Amino acid sequence: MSTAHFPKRGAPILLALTLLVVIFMIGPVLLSVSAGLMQNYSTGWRSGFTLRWLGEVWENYGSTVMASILIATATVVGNIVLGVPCAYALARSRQRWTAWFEELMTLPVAVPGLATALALILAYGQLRGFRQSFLFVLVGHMVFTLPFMVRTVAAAFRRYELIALEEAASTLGASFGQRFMGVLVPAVFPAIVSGALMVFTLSIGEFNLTWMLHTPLTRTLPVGLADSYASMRIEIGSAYTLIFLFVVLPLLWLLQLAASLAEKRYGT
Amino acid sequence: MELERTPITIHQCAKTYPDGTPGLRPTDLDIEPGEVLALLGPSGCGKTTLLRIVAGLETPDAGARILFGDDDVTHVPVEKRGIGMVFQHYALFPHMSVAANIGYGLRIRGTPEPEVRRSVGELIELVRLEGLEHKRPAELSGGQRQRVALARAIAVRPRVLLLDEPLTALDAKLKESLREELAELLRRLHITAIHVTHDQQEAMSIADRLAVMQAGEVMQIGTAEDLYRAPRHSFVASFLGRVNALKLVTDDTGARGIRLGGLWLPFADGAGQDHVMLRPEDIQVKASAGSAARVSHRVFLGDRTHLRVTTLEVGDLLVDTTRDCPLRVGDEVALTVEPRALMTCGDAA
Repeated sequence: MSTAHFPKRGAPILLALTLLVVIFMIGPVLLSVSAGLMQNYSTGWRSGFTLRWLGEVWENYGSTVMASILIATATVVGNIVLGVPCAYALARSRQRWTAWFEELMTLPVAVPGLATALALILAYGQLRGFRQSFLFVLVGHMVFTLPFMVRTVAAAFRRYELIALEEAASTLGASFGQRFMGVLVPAVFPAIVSGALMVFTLSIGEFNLTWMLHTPLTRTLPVGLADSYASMRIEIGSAYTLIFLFVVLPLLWLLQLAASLAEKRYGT
Repeated sequence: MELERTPITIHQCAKTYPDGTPGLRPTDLDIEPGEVLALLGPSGCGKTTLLRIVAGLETPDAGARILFGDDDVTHVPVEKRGIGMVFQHYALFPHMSVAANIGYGLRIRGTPEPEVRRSVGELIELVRLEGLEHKRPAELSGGQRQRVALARAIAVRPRVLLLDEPLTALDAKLKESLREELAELLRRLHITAIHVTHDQQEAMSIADRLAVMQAGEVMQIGTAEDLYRAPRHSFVASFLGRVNALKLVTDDTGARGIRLGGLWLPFADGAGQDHVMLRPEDIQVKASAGSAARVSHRVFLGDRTHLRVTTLEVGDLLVDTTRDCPLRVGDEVALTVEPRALMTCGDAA
């Protein structure tokens, strides 16, 4: 009896604690965002509401929004094209070095992005066309995000049922290409979508690697954000944060929706 | 639907795993056209390995030859072998409907769409899945999934049908009804089939011949009756059913036989043997006060009763009797055994 009552007695305390944590975490966001809509942050709301700062941000940094979305999308596409076959190869290989390779691939997640970026600059900095294009930033993002796609999808490929599905398709006469595209990829589709979601999220918010790799002409949204915080008035920085949330939240929400649809359609 | 009848010849097929453990010892098998052969044995006996070698999913050691009819398929990859296979957990494509699963092999081969649809319709009728064409595998029961797997395997008109523990994933009741159904369907299709199972009743009810395997070796091949009545190995005798192993003794006159609850059963042809086998159902018991044997255990199983009878000469003896057996634990019993019920085995048990 006492165990049955326990959660009921605990509930108000848990609720209060949850609310406290939520307020503690959301408070700074709301405060920061509201500063972007005030005439003057030091006087507060008495100074009046304005969209002027948003306008200025759009004028100065508008291009970074599109750049970030394009880079994140390209990173996702690159991850699918390179990561999914790589995940399959790792999942099916019985060689010992593949385990090493998988560890090695995760390294850029642990190593500070600055160090990875420096290595890229040292290695490819001389290729001027490449160095000055968004392609350079894209490569950095790929290096950083690839393990998230590969590990998620490789885990799905390793499931016993997947091995059996592949064998079943081969006994029915399917060639490797037919098995891979017709049976395996649809079967791991939910894993690919959740990997893509993770990659997109990481790419759109990536700062420290991108900060090293960018040029004045290849700025992403987070790099622009840092620039505005450092060199503009606080209202502009806050308005920029607001724009970032406006862009990112609906996109993430849409991707999440796509992932749950895929799970429903393809999940076993 | 009538399928091609292809004989299978397996010649010196062996499989040694990379770490040196033998999965399958050199094996020869001939399977008649249209015959259903069961590979029967406990887990790890090599039966699945042999099936997968025939399928082309495993490579045998050098020196092996596998022929489908006159066609040497030893080095033909699995997708070109022309086999149909039913997997233990069915391995149905989860993102495809029942109809798409069944039609997969035909579509892969580039069969024109109207013909695929006609074939799929025919197969759905054959395995009685009408009305479920557009369901996903996840929405089907175990028995229905099993039928989809079978239909998918025979849709491509394979030369050989391979069944890997096809009924293991089902519960006991369903297993029994599907067993009959599968046996009937295989007879109707007249297809050469290899059926792997660890369940002797399943093997007996589906297959024409059984190959009993142990530790990577085929111990004996024959019809269910042959193997049950004349096992050449104690393992075969005990794997196919319960059995008593009884010690042969020599009496004062030099004749060999067994002593059992005061009975003397002469046994002439057991040269070189020290044991004979006796099935529990070949022993008759009736109450007899003052007898040396007594019932020490009794289990009622519905359609029959299992007794354990303790004797002076051979210790505990398994005995099967009828449902209405009046004997109780502690009753003294007399035993009757037909001398011809004694079986020899080729090995020392």
